[in-house]
Parts: sequence; structure tokens; C-alpha cells
Amino acid sequence: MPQDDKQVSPIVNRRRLLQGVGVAGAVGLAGCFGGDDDPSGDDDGSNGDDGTADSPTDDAPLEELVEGGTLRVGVGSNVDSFDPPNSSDTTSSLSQSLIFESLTTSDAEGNLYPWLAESWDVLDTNSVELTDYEPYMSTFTAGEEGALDHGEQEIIRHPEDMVPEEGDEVRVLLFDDAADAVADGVFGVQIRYHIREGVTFHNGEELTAENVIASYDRIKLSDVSAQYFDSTLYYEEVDEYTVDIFAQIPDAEAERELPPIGVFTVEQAQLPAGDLDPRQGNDPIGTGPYVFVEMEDEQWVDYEKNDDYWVEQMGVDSIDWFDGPAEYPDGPVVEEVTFEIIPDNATRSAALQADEIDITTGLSSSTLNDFDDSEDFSVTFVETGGYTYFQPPVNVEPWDDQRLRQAFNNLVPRELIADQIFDGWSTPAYIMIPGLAQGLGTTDAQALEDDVRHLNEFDPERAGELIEEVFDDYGIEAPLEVQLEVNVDNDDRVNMVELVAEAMEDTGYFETSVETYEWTTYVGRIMDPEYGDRGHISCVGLSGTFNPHSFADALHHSTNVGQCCNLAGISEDWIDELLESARYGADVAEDPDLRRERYDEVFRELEEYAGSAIAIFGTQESVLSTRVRNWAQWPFHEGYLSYALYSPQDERIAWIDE
Amino acid sequence: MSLRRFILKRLLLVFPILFGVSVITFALVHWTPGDPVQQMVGLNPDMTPAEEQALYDRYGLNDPMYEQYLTWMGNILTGDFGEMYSSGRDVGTIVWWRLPETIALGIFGWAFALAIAIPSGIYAAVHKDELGDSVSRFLALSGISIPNFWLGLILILVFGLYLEWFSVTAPSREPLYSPAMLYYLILPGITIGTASAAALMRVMRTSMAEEMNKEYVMAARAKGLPERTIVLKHVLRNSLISVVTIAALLTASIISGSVVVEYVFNWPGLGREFIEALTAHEIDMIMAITLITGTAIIIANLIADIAYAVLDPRIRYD
Repeated sequence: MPQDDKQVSPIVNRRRLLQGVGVAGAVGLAGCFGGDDDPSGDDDGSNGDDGTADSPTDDAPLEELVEGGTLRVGVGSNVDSFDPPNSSDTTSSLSQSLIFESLTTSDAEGNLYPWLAESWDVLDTNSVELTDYEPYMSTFTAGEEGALDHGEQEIIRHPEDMVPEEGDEVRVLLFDDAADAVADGVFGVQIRYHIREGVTFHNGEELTAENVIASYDRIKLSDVSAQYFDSTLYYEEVDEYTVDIFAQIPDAEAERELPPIGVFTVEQAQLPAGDLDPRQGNDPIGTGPYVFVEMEDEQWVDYEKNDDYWVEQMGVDSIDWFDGPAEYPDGPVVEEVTFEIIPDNATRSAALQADEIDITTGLSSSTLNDFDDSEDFSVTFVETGGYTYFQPPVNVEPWDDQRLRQAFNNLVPRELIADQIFDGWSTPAYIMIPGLAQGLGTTDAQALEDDVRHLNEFDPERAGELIEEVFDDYGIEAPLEVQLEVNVDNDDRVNMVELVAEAMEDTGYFETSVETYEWTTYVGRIMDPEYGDRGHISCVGLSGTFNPHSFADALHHSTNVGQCCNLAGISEDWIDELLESARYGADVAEDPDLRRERYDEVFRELEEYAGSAIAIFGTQESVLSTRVRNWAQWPFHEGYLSYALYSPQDERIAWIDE
Repeated sequence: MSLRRFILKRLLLVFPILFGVSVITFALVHWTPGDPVQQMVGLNPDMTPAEEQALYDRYGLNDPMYEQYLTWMGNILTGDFGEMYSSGRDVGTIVWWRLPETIALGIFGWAFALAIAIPSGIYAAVHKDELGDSVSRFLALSGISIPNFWLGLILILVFGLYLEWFSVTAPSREPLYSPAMLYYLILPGITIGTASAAALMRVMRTSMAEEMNKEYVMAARAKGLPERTIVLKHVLRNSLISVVTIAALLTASIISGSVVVEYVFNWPGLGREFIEALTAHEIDMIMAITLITGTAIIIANLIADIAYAVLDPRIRYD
């Protein structure tokens, strides 16, 4: 049984821009395709017609389990980093997931379980706001470009001092200041983690609270520090096996957000950023099921089973929530895992066909269909939290009129995009939240869809009526010139944008053009805080998580203008308050039902506002050779190997049939 | 001017040329929209504007471009090629590690080009306007026209997947100069050398055909020398002057071809590194690879000039 009904997501890259749906973190629930196991939503047999790809798992009886063997994984990019706080690419995270573990783990439905922590308790929740920390803040004078030179991790910056000019006084809460606040009882949430005794690292060192604290210290000023210290206030050791972590404000996501990204040995936690790397002479040491062996940079990385894995030493039955079958093993059974680094999709696909690798991901829709039709391979998949969305320029006339934005939303042919462009390897987004996040994101997904689906259906007739009303009111003479923008290095996405542009043209009210940009250029362009004022419609992909907030906040909260990913410059106080009311506050932190009700309201209001048009949710797929058995598909790319190889929370175990 | 002075003069020109190349590349990279910090912001959505500014400061991206260039140049002169933004890894280490892989591939491509171009060029010239000549010219035209990446994929498909004569991916656990690796290099070598082979073959054919019409050839025939001796001993040597020159100049095309070929064949050289650096806007890596390949091309041109002068004593160095 899970600890409770809270949900968790991968710690790394909670939200990330996607160059291509299905490439980065992606989330989904088995059987959450609106009651249809075939994500294509049709009966043409494009998927799921041969029994190999009609579920996220390849179920095989445990009696057939085979121990040993090597799993050869084809990955599309180099393992650039073995240092979780100082990396952001998915391949590095994938590698790290075999080596490092966290205090908690999650099943494929997002339920949170104790892992390196034997249990945790939410000790206290207080109704505090960020401004309540003002008495504890230190003051600094802003230098050039508004930069501060305190050289420490900022925990909180005063809301009024967010964008200072040179010479301004800036109030900041630093870590030591946070200690004073906590001592006075000023904090949002206090969670106490009880570390599991007897867990050892690959080098034999025992896990204690000291490791957790040192690991959290490593996050300070790291690449992911911004993601952590937007939630975390403070952390401290209570005793050798107990740690307290404090959230800044009452946060319904605290249990998911607070545990550190991975737990390190004290020695490695203190290494300079970038030095936790075999290329620097420091092989990564974690508590995880696999041990790093050796690597050839940009060519391959080898891992082998951790023979002293703590679960194996203690027995899986020692984990109090585990209630799986007696024959479920005490650890992974695949002896070795090797990453073969093959950037080119076509070459990676050929390597799979030539039996040079056993599994890969990130292939195009048409290639997936070829593999799916083959008897020598299987494709497992789940719906993801990766989504592709459009944002019209809400602050530019006439797009500031909600009716025109709603009309645009009715001109996005979601079904056609999912079926024709993605060959069924995606699902139309008739509501803003995919199956994986519906557990805490709505009281009734079907009711929500019934209410808002008309806003998201392809309906040129309704669109035409709305556009006519707006054009009449504004005195606009058709056609209105509109530029749609997208990154060029994703053919599917470009085709999607062209399809939408064509639908707009067909109304007779628009004259459209499609501009494409190389990915890095495009990111720089859309991250410009002024981008929303240019009057273009942008299209980009983003990855959400089990957290329903990730499908609303990033796109609509004013703090995400000029960041990821409120590209249109949506800045409405009522939207900010609505979003915050669903996640922050003692009421929603303590009452999941209230939280669901709030999200129902959030999604209904945002659909009406039509500031974003989410077109599709992607799928996370793995293409496997038939020698890989009992593979279970985890919805996030970063953890799909560690989950399939050994995950007692879902009683999953993969093996090599040799 | 003596040959030595000529070489010295050309060597001195290397530095201003490299300076020009570095300035132009640096400017182009910086003028391209988007930057590494924006990419990081995209991946770290909770980054505050202050943290974003701190990153710009850390990498010196807020400084005027000329200052950034001077800093980069100063570092280069001390052997510091900079670091990767994404991983903090040392660019110089990566570049020197990858360079032998690209050199090995280049040598294979070059050897393939010469091995194909010279015999087929001779054959086409000797059998000018016959069927064999037409076939050779057609193949040469095809070789020039076929894109590298397409040819590479076709070779993988045919010889890797269907015939299974080669592995699809490099046997990367073998040392670079092991028999297995050198055998694997055949396909990428063919891919990278095909266009050069075609271009060289056409030059060879034209050059040979010209020589064959010269008076000394007619005189040799009149003396009763065997055709084989005339072609291989006299005509070939004179024809090779332009071929050697062109062959050296084709180094540039082999280097540029390596970018795509390494990517398709999963060959871990500088070309593949360059693509990834461009995608990620890794300025230091782009600059380092440009500098090294620029140097290689300049040296190849220098060798071509010297070879031309050595092979044809009539050429003056002024």
C-alpha cells in the first residue's frame, strides 16, 4: 500500500521543453485512453493489432523468469553527467536512475512510497506567505544587471525585489536566515523522514541522515537548485536516521517536491560541481540496483548488478508496504546493462534490427509502426505528460478577445493530428490534463471533459461564428495576417502547425504563414519576455508530471513569462490566484478532495480563457527485441529503465530470455 | 624566390588566416539567435531572472563581444579551449580525444578516393568516348550528386542489415587501430570518399586526356614505345600534377563530409561532436573544432601548393 494518495513525479526536470514529444519525460496511465486501449482511437490496426503494443507492459509469468544476461540499450545522446544536481539532459538522468535512489519512489500511477526513507510524517502545516519571511531576510545591494554577490543559494527573494536595478536594496532569505525562521516556527510544511537502517552504498558506506543533508547541500547553486528552492525552505538532521525538511509555504505537492534528487556518499556530495564523473576519476557511488563499471565517452557505458543491493540484502518482504507474490525477486535479475550511444535515429533503428541493441526509444511514428508490425520486436507504450500546445498572443489585439482565442482552439484538429501526423502515437487533448495527473487534478475526469470538450473539438462552424463576431466588433477586414512559429527540427510538429494554419486559412478569415526556427534559436526567441507582444502564435512541446499543476501553471502563471513556458505573456491576477489556490495553502495541502475541486475550477476557467490550446498528449514508447521479457513501460523517459528492471511498488521485473 | 622562402611566406600567412576564421566564426556563433543560457532556462523553468543573469555573468556572455573574443583568444594561447556549458567538461580534452577518430576516418576516405579515382580516371581517358568512359563519367556524376547521409544509410542498409558483412554500429569496445575497427571503417570511408573520388576521377580523366594529345606522346608512339609504358610512365606522371593538387584541396571536403558521416555511422569524431555542439550552442566547442579543422585545411592547401611546385619545376614561387 502506498503511504497515502499523494503522488510523485521524477525529481529531475519537473517541467521541460520538449524538442519532440516522446523524447523527454513523459507520463501516462495504463488504460487511461478514455476507455480505449488503443491510443490511436481507431480500429485501423495501426497500433495494437498484433498483441504486442496494446498495453504498457509485456506480461510474462514469473515462473519463466531468467536470471543474468546483458540488456543493451540504444540511447540517442551521450551520458554527459553522472551528477544529478548538475545535469539536465534525459540520457544522463536515465543513467543516474540506475545508480542513485531517493527517499521516496513512485508507482506508475504516481502513488508515493517510502524507499530510502522507511516512512515519513507530515508534522506541521502553517498558513504562511512568502512575505512572512521578511523579518529574517538579509539585505544586499544590487550590482551590475541587478546581480547580487552574496555567493550563496537564495531560498526566497522578497516578491517586491524580484527585478532590481543596479544600486537597489534587495531582501533575500539565505539558508542561515531560513534556520532562524524555522526556529521561530515560521515555515509552510515540516516533513520528518525516517531513514531506513542498514542501507549501504556501492562502496559499503551505510546510509545515514548525514548523507541526506550532504546531498541536499550539493543541490545548492547547482543546475537544479531553482527547481528545489522554489519549494524547499530548510532541512536539518534530527538524529542519525531522521531528517526534517521544511517547505516555504503550505504546498499540496510538498511530499513530492521536497526529497532530494538522489542520495550520495558524503565524500561525493562534497565534490565540486562536474567532478562527480568517471572522466574526472570519480565513479558515481549510489545505493541503487546497478553499479557503474566503465565507459568510453560518447560510445558506451557499462553497468553491472549491485550484488550488495540493500533490497537484496534485506529481502523485498522487509519493505512494509510490499505485498507482492512470494516468487517476486529481491532485486533486479538482469546482470549487466550497457548503453550504446547512437545519436542518429535511423542508425539506432538499424542497430536494433541488426541485433546490436535490445531496446531503444525516441523513434519516429512511422518507424514505430514498422516495428509494431514486426514479429521480431514489440513496442510498449503509455500515454505521457508530454504535450504540444499553441499559444495565441493574448495581449495583442484582436487576440486579447477571448472569443477569437476560443475560435482558434476550435480550429486545432486534434483527432486528425493524433491519427494522421502521429500515426496514433499520441492522444487528442480534449481536456488540459492527461490521465496520469487526473488522480489529483479533477474530481471527475469524464465530467470535466463533458463540460469543456466543445471548446476543444474541431469545429470550424463555431469558430467561424466567433471570428465573425470579433471581426465585426473590432472592425477588422478579413483576412487577418497571422504568423505561426515552430521549431524546424521536428517534422511532426511542423506538420501539425501547417495543418492548423491550413484550417485557419480555410475559414477565409486568416492569411497565415508558418515560420520555422532551429531549436536553440527558437527557445531563445520564445523565452524572450517580449515575445508575446510580437503577435505570433507559437507552438512548442512541454513535459508535465503526475502533478496536475504542471499542466496549468507553466503556461498561465505570470511568473513564467519570459521563462518556461508562458510564451504569450499571460498575466492575469485572477489566474495567478486561481492556480495558487489549487496547490498552495493549508486547506489544499491537507485536503486532497478540495484540491481536486480547485483544479476542476482551474481547468474549466483556463479552457474558457483559451490562452493555450493543448493539442495532443504524447506517448512514451520503448521498442524491444523479443529477448527482453516482461517489460513494463514507465511514463517518464528518465526512469524507464530502472522501473522496468526492478520496481516492487508495481511488482515489475524484466529479464533477458536467453 | 626559393622554395624555402616560398614555404616560409605561406606559413606566415597561416596566422592571419586563422585569426580571420576565428573572428568570423566567433561573430557568427554570437549573432545566431538563442544562446546556451536561454537553453538552460528552458530546461530549468523555476530559474529566477537573477539566477539567469548570474549564468550570463559566469560565462562572460554579458561582456561586449570583442571582450569575449579577446578572453577566448587569450585562453586559447594558453592552451585552454574552455568548457562545455551543459556539463562543465573541458573542451580541449574532448577535442584531442576525438581528433584521432576523425583523422582515421579522413585517411580512409582519402585513400578510397585516390584508389578509385586514379585507375578509373586513367581508364576513362585511355578509352575516351567509349562505353567505359561514359559509364565512368556517369558514376562520377552520381558520386558527386548523392548526398553523404543518404549514401551512408543505403550502405548500412545493404551491407549492414541485409548482407550482414559489417556491423551497423562501430565495434567501439575495440581499440581504434584494431583490425575490427579498421574493417568497420570501410563503409564510412567509402561514404566520405565517394564525392572526392568522383571529383578526382574527372580531373584525372581530363588531365590524362589533355596529356595524351600532346606531341611528346605522339613522339613516343612513333618511337614504338608500348602504349602501357607511355600511359603509366610518361602521361600519368604529368597528369598527376593537377590531381595531387586537387587531392590536397579535397581535404576540406573530407573534413566537412565527416560531420554528416560520423553522425550517420555513429563514429565518435569531431564531426559528430560539432553537430551536437551546434545544436546545444556550445560556443567553446564550436570554436575549438572550427580552429582545428581550419588549421587542417590551411595546412592541406599549403601542402598542395608545395606539391605543385615540387612536381612541376617550371612553376615559379612568385
